[in-house]
Amino acid sequence: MYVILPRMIWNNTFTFTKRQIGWLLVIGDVAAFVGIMALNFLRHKPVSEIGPAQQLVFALFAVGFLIGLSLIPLGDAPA
Amino acid sequence: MTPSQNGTLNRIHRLLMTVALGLLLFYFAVYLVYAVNLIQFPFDYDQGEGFELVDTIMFSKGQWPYQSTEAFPFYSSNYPPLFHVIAAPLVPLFGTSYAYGRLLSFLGTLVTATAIGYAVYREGRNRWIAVLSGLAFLASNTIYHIGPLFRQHATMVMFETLAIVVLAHVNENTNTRRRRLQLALGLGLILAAGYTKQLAAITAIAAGLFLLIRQPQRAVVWGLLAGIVGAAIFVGINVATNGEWWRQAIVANVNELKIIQTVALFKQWFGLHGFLIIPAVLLVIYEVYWDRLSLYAIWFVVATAINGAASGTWGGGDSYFSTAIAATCILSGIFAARTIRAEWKFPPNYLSQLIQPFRQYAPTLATASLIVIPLIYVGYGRAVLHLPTDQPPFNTIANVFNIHANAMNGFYDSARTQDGQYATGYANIGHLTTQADIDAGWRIVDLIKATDKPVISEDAGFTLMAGRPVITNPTQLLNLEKKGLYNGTELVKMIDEKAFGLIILRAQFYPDVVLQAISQAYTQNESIVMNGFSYLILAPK
Repeated sequence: MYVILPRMIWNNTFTFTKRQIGWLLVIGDVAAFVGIMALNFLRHKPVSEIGPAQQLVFALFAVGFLIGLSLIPLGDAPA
Repeated sequence: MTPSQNGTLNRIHRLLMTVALGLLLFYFAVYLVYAVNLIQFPFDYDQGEGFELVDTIMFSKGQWPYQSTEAFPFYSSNYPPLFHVIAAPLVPLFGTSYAYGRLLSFLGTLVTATAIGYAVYREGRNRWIAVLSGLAFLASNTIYHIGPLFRQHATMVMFETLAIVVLAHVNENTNTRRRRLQLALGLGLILAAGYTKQLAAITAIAAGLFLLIRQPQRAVVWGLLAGIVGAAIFVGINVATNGEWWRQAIVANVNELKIIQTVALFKQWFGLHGFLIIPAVLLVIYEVYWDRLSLYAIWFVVATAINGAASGTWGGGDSYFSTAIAATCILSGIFAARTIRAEWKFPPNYLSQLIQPFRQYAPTLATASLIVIPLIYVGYGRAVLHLPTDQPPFNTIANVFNIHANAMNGFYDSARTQDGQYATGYANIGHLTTQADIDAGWRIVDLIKATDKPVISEDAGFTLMAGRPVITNPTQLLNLEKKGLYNGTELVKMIDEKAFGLIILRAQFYPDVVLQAISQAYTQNESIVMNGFSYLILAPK
């Protein structure tokens, strides 16, 4: 991590690849889903009370997750 | 294909392109007539326009419109300042008038359409498609009806589109000095858009993501610089207004989401613009899997997702899709131009196998595109049908095609059902105003002039035209009340004491505490219909 980050930020030629964007989408969507569910848990909000706005957000996370998965096999092609 | 078949096909292609161009030019003519009509109309046409004029007048006097709503005249604004600052120098020249604000907004849409056309031409090198793309933007029912209003939205979209066009190829610029100028200009335009209307934050997100994906170092450095400039302006305004900028324009401006409205407006957006949305989405998919992600694609996705969702908020509406419509026109134009030039390439990857069986049809598809692409614009032209049905020369066209009005003052709008129903949140405007509307407005002004006391009017235009001070901004009071930031003691006390000569209501967008006080101390004298809306004239009991 400490090697990759400086390479990314301070390298003039670095550009994200399709694979990296894919992993970022997969990890980001899972983390965001877990985060919202954790918040619901802390607020004692049962799954049955998840409203339409959160359902919409979860649906978008699912789409993002699937797109992320489909990008991973594209390897080092620049994003 | 023989040369003679080729010639015939090219002639059909040009004929269909001419039909598509004629159709979209027709909408441009409708738009011009509508803009000229509104620019001449002396009162509020859309709810809230008058308060934008009040902000402009205040800026022309060197005053901030962000102030406490608890003290007389209980006025504040939730709009960022740039649009009003641009219009402010025109106040000393043209006085209290809606004309220059509406003209500026209208001209802004023409700049946006030109920028869309330029972007499409730069990417696709097809003049026909470039012109069609720009005109398609102006033909959208949403752009049509908000374009010539004294409101900031169209100007925000102009700044956003210009920023995107400037930044789209910034990474390919190898001349360091020019690239830096390009970045500074593009990010400056995004800041201008943000200080025109807060919704432009999505364009900042899209540009930031694009720069981050392409070159993180540049994104971080320039993001920080733009952030510092933006934050300095923000803090400066906040200090100058004793914190009212934060309270009135930021905190009070975050509103609850009505998901039903969001869904209804998404359906309507697709119903009206589907002919362009599908090619735009296809180009995004192509870029995701076979090409590099363009700024246009990221802008389209972010604008559609975030602004589309936000369209369901109180104060939102179909205008929130304007940025997505601009992005749609650019992407669909690039798709169309690339298809006609048969420029699609599919570098090998695991998904290319899915394309493989269709490769043999590539020449046929390229030939068919000469017919299909113009038909897409003809189909779009049919989907966004809108025109006045009772004014020459449009009444003749309405008669020939058996088009009957489904909105006010003889207007037909395909966004509505034939009996006039429309999606929740869709702005009930687009019709032309009449002399009867102007006469009705002046009647209300005469009533205001007949009283010596101050007057509360839900539309600011009447009090402005009567030369009286504007008291309160109802929707802003409501915004503050929804956030628990409104007390209203002083205003309610004045209403209880019947300190106002008249109260003029339209949609009654006041906090409950104010409406209750009005109902106890005032009674309806008469109702005057202007522009299809009933204005209730209330006098002290």
